[in-house]
Amino acid sequence: MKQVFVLLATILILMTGCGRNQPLRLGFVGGFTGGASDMSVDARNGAQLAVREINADGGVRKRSLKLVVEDDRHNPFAAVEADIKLVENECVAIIGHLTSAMSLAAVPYINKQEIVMLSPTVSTNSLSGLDDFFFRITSANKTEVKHLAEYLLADTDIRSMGVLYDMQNISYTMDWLNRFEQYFAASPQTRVYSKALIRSSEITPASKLEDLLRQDPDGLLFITSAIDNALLCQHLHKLDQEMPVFACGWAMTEELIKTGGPAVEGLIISHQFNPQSSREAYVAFSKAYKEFYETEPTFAAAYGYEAVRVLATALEADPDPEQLKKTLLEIRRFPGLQNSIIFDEYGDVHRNRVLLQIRDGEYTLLQ
Amino acid sequence: MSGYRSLKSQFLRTFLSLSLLPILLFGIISVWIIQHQFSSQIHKQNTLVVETVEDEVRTLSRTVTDLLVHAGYMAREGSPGMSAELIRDNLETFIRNQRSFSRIYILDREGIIMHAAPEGERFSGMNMSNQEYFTELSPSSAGETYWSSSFISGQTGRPSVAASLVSGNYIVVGFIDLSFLNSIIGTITIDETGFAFITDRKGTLIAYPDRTLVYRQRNIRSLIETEKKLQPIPEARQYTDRSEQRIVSVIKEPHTGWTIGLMQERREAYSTIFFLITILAIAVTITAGLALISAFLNKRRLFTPISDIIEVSRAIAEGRYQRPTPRENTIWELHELAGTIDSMGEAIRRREEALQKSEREYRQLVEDVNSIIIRWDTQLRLTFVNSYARNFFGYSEEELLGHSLAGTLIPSREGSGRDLTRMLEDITVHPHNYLSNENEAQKKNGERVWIQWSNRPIYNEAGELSEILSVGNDRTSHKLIEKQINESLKEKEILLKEIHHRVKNNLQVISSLLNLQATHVRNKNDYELFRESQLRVQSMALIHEQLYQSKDFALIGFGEYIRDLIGFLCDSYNINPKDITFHIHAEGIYFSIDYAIPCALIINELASNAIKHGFPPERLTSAGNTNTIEITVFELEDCYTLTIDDNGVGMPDELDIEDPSSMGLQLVKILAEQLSGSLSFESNHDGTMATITLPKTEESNQ
Repeated sequence: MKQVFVLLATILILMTGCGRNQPLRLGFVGGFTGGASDMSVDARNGAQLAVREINADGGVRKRSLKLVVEDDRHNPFAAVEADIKLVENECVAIIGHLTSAMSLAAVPYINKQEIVMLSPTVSTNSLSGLDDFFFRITSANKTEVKHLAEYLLADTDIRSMGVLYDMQNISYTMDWLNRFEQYFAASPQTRVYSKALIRSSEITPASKLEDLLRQDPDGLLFITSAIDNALLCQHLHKLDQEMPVFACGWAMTEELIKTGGPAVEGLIISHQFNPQSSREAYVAFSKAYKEFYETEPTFAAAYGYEAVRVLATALEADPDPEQLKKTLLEIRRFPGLQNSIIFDEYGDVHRNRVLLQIRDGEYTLLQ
Repeated sequence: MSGYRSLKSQFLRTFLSLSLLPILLFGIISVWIIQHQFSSQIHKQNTLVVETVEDEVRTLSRTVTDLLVHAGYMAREGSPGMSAELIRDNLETFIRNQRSFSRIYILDREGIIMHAAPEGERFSGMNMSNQEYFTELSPSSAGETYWSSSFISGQTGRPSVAASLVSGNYIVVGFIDLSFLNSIIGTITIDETGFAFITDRKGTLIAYPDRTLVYRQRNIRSLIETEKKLQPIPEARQYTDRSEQRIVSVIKEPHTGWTIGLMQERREAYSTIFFLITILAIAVTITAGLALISAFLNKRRLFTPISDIIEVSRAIAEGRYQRPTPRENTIWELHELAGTIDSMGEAIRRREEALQKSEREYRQLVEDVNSIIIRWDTQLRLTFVNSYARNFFGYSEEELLGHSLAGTLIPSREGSGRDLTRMLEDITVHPHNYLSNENEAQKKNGERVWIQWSNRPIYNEAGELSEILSVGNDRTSHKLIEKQINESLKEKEILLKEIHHRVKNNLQVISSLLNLQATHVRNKNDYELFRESQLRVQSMALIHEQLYQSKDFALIGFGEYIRDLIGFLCDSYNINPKDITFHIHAEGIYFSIDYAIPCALIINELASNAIKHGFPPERLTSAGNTNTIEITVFELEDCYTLTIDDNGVGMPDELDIEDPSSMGLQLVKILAEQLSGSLSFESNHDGTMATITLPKTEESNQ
């Protein structure tokens, strides 16, 4: 009879199946509405890839991860609504937002809820040095601006710069502009001419560009999204104006090269992401990403991937979401795809920067 | 029990192999067939649906190609004569009329926008050579439309694709708002959870019931995790996600490169299968349950009575007789078996009682019999001693059983010095040499006794000697009497010997007296008379000499006696052995003294006559004669025949045998008559043969 009991028990176990843990929910919020959604799409894709890999390896403490995605529609009110939805959805942390304006709108809410928000791309200085629940993978843009400004002053003859900046992400672009003016226009020999780009306006970006060109700057700096940057370059190209063009890190996507075409050749960006990195972790990630999405990974994709990995590492160490901020700050140092991610006591990071130039349709190292 | 399989175990194996396993196998095979059949049916049904959507997409593809061709035609035809503005106007009119395109670019071979609508002025001159719709379009692929990856249009904010086509020296690019695709898939629903979707060539959703996923450019691969990479081909395929919650049927539309798919909750798609499997599982479970109940009932009907029977059998084997517990609802054969075992047990009980009674009686017999009965093994250890033996030897049972026979009942050495321990050991080796045996034994008080033993070997099942059964009787008194008789006999023998010796001596004295007397006789005839008398006395003395010298005082070896007598006669008559040859044949003839003395006198007379008268001196001295006297004694069935045959000169004719004058022959005749015998003579020139026939009497050889 012993054998019969064993047989019946086995059948019963097979029939009922083993209990499964509920998945661990990670919120992801980005701007998926409108033409400037490419960065959000890329970051979401990178995060999704990390979730798949972690789940394939057994999850976090044997619990699978689930990415819950919300759209902030590039609207501060919608951003908070999206965060509320994610909190209600019992997400243990939120990855996002992708733009500074949305993050600035969201931070008061997430501080109140005491839920960790880890942004892959936000670099506004307004969120630096605060003991809050906001963490980020990207270093504050002051380092980017300073890096570019120092290059301009040290290695070029450019002393006057025409700047076009996006009004939709004004917290980022204005901060960028202010920092740039602070670093670049500090001396009397240098000058910055700036124009705001209002998408809803009847005035096309081309007219703003032409207005700027009339100031006869030595170079042009576009603090805009990739698509706007590309179209501005195309227009500049059409105007047959040959001058050095610079862009902010926000624009560094494939869309910039695709839409910009030969018009963006020679464009220079200061960034912490090196698309030509040969680091083993990055090469593996790049291969997996291309295999899955059939396209090259962008910095947003890489940072989205890193954000999930950082949170998974912390949750593996201590799965209590209420202790997540403490855990992140205790661990502090996390492995990144191209270099380590080291949080300071405020959840900000400092990562090495490189100057990239578009050559032959690719981002290449300038230095 | 090791090595034997129990009936219960065998029953369990049989039950598993003949009942449970077939039921389970039937269930598994049925599930497999149902699943296989229905999966195939679901696949076919889903394939039909996705092929229907694929048809719609193909139609769209053809329409778009036609429109791009038309737009290219407009640009080509218009170029030579028309202004750029007019071409843009025409293109804008074209866009408004056909409503498929949200924007059209006419590029040159370098990728520079020649004409664009709307906002043609803004875009013309821009270089689009890095765009996918330009880089991926083969210049030689005239007439074939390339469909780019989808993107969210900066102009409309909606999902769009660019379709490009080589048209002469131009490349016509049309931007298509894909929102309308939702109206195509919106009409397709299967049950409650089945819906269609479309992705671009990279798997990015371009039509999906949840439009937010389209706007967020979700990749279908991130929505469903399949074991194999979701890789659509122009032939419909079916996948199941890793969690097995949904099934996906996909097909690739070759012109657009789009994937048309159908997704449905597996639970719903397979609801019929699940239902059938549930019914089957219930049926299998009920059947298996019934089989288990049947097995349980069989167990009660089979094993409980069998256990009873085993227990009763074991009790019988251990000598505890008990009746089997009567069981209702058992099977007939076991009921019969229980009955048979009951009868068998009863029979055994009776036999056992009879056996015990017989054994008691036997034991009583053995115990009470006036003989010593013991059993002892090959190590000389006593295994049984009856009460007579114990009483006889003065030992208790405990003092004997298990102890060696040697040193207890049997002393190590007999009074005569015989090694009795060795004899006992020899009995265990050669028991058949000691079937009857007599030896000294010893009581506990040290008294020696003589026991006559009858020994019987007892063999075990292997045919090896295990024990000796010895039955002994006390022979001590017999031995004493025997000794006394022997001693008495010995005394008599000595006495008889002495008598014979004295008789012989006396006869010799008489012979010597006669001899002495003969020396004073002057007459030769008288002298001969004395001499013959002396020889007769001497012949009788010889008999007594023979008797006292022999071991047996009763019988005389007559052959030996005749030889001694002849030797004596020859000496007396001075006969040279060379002159007369004696042949004596009387071996094996023994006479008692009463018979021997007359016979000796007869032979003495006849042999003396033959010597004296048969062979006169001249005959003895003449050469060429062989003088023989042959004395033969035959033993026939009822008589002895004594012949004295010589080849002498024969008896004188005047001798009357019937009335002889000589004392010798008279004596012979008297002695023959005394012995109730007959006497006859045959005589001629060749000799004389005297034959005396003497009947056997009780005295002749006793």
